[in-house]
Amino acid sequence: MNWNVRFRRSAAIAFEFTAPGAPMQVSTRLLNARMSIFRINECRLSAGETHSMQSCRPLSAFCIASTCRKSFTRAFPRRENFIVTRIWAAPILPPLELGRAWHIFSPLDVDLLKVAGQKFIGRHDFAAFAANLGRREKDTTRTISSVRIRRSGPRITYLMSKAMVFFTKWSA
Amino acid sequence: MVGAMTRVALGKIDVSEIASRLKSGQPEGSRFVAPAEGLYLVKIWY
Repeated sequence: MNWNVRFRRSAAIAFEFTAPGAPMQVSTRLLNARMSIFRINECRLSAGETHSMQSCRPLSAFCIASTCRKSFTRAFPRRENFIVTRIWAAPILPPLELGRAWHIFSPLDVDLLKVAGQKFIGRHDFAAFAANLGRREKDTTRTISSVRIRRSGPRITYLMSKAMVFFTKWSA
Repeated sequence: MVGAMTRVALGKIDVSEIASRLKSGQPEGSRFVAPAEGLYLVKIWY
């Protein structure tokens, strides 16, 4: 039986992992996700998978599990990922945002951010932006379908949708 | 990518540098990698 596991931090941010095993572990490595499991509904995770999640630094999170289609396998190819980066651009970081947002002391020019974000849209070779130079990917060409930037006071959110993400170490 | 965009917003590099690095496709020059804090995987489409 395969299970579709969804972690929800808030109404706006949700983690979704499908099926036990590799996708979840890869995702937690990719994100350096910080979560703790408060509730698991009929979710059959292996001990290793549970440990890998619990060993991450704590963060308030909910876990909702439901069944997914039987044809799903771990090797099911991913078509696209949707990634969010939260930035707190202010001199003081609120305690509740500690570890949940990238703290930048200086104010950011949001208009310049939007201009820079539009440069990434489309299909490009992102070798120049890969973080892990020690491990070269065979193919570093990726497609960015959309980059959106929202600002709410000091809180800036990048919303980025991209296809065929590096799962080793992506240059955030 | 976020690191590069943020450096542009901070005025440390020019927007044209992003375009030139995308065109070059070569892992050369200085780079700034944003920390994993605040990075969330929201959804995966299969």
